[in-house]
Amino acid sequence: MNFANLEAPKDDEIEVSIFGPGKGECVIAHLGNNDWIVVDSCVSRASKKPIALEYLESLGIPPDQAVKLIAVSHWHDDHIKGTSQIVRTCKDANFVCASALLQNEFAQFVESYSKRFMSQKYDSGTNEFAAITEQLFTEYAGKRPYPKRLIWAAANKRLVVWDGGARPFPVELYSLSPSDAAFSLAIAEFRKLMPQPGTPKRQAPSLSPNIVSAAFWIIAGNFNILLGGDLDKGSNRDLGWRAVIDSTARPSGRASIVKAPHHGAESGYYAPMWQKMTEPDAVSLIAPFSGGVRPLPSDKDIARIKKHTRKIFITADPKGWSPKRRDSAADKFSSTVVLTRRRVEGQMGHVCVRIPRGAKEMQIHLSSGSKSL
Amino acid sequence: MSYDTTLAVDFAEESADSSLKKELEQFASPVYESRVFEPDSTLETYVQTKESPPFSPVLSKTDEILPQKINRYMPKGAKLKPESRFIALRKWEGVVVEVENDVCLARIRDLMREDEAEEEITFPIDELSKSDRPLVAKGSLFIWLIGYSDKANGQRIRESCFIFRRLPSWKQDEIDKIKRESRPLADLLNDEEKTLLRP
Repeated sequence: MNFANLEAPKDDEIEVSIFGPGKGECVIAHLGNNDWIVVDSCVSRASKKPIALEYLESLGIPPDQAVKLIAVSHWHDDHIKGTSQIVRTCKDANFVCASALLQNEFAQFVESYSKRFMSQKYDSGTNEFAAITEQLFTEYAGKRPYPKRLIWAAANKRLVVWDGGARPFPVELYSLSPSDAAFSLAIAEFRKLMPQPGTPKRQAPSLSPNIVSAAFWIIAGNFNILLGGDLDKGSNRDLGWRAVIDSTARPSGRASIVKAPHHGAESGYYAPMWQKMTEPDAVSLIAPFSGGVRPLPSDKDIARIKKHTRKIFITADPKGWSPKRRDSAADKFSSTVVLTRRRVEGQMGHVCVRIPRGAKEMQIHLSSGSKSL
Repeated sequence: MSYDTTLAVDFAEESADSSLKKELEQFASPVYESRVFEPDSTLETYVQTKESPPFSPVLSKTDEILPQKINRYMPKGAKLKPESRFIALRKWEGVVVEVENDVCLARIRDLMREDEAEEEITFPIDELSKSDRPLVAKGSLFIWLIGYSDKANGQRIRESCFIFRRLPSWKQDEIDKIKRESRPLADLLNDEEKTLLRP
């Protein structure tokens, strides 16, 4: 992939990059001192590698030394693909996931649906999560005390602090969700989603609405960055963005870079989040989701976000791509049978935001089909 | 497009030919072969007979030779004769994502060209046979075939066919085993806590 011929950022430069091929997203951030974090993951179709590793290697940066933290906002396949490979490669990096995903109920859910589904071509995320679990158990085996690699994400929790030494600026990373109520509800939901005797072995069902997603807040020097994951608005004040906004314990300040929640969809839109947690005209990054009944974001979704910022950048066209025509007779005939047909993954798009030390303006680099909206 | 070999397996059982019974049971198994086809590979053909029961999810090139095997164990005068054959031009495996207003949204992957990107299709449930319609639910698996059907009278017809998998069912002891053996990641932290608290 062509990454806009970028060179590695300087030690005192902040970078937030988002990648998305149409289905899947990955955010990678340089937080100074050659310390990188990876939040969520997707895989390059060409190299079959996690895009985070491919990108760092293209910059000449060894991922195993540079990546200090790997986080998954939740377990869906469009956010987690390739994470196990990153966890395997970057052995010194912390692994962060929502507290509910560490519990027995989710372990049983993953064990039920990974490998037992009759087709290995489709993974709803359970296989990838099982691979991460396997990796962590393998490397922890027999070690006393256990290496402190695993961190739970929960509401208003400070996950790491990097300060001192040769660092050009201090860094703090917080998780903003899931809330305590979301944790309890998710555990109950995972129990309900467990297979029942006599029912067919279908693909793993998904948890909807997405209450269990983690959202992250990064303080890097004078800049705040909000990574919204797939966190839902919340059906009451104890869940989703409503709980985040109502909380008095969340970190203060406004973000100048925002990864729009849930691919910019209405389900993840909560106006007070934009009004209270982001700067006016904050740089908003979106990786679309071209699958599903309604590809995300829709024109309406974009118009809604535009009320808060004019700076919206997207990694790919949400409407998907036409299927490749290989056999005209069969392809023509297929179009008379199906109502719609589209490819949901195209070329990997990349939006890179860089903030050089002392600069007043952010630099935006767009490559491979990404664009400004 | 393929044979439900249950009848033939029964006959094989009666004749106590265990090796053939085993062979036929393979074909009767609900697990189909999902083979990779080179772009220039020869077209796959399926033979349909007048007597063959409704389509089962078994799809295999070996279907072509099955009539001979089955006929050896059929009662006299009840031999299966090929009536038509199906030549698959395209073949996808799909999983149902959503069912809304009798329209199915599904993800599909090309089984003949594995490098193809995943696609999503929507199709009316009316496209399915009556026997397959109750199988449609979120997470169900199916095969979608497009190809030519050569009829016994020489007529060639273009056909599309969705075949839903009869998925095996969950068993109580399997669920119990999962509950016993799954290891939550929290154990790593809890164990560490136990270690630290140990005097």
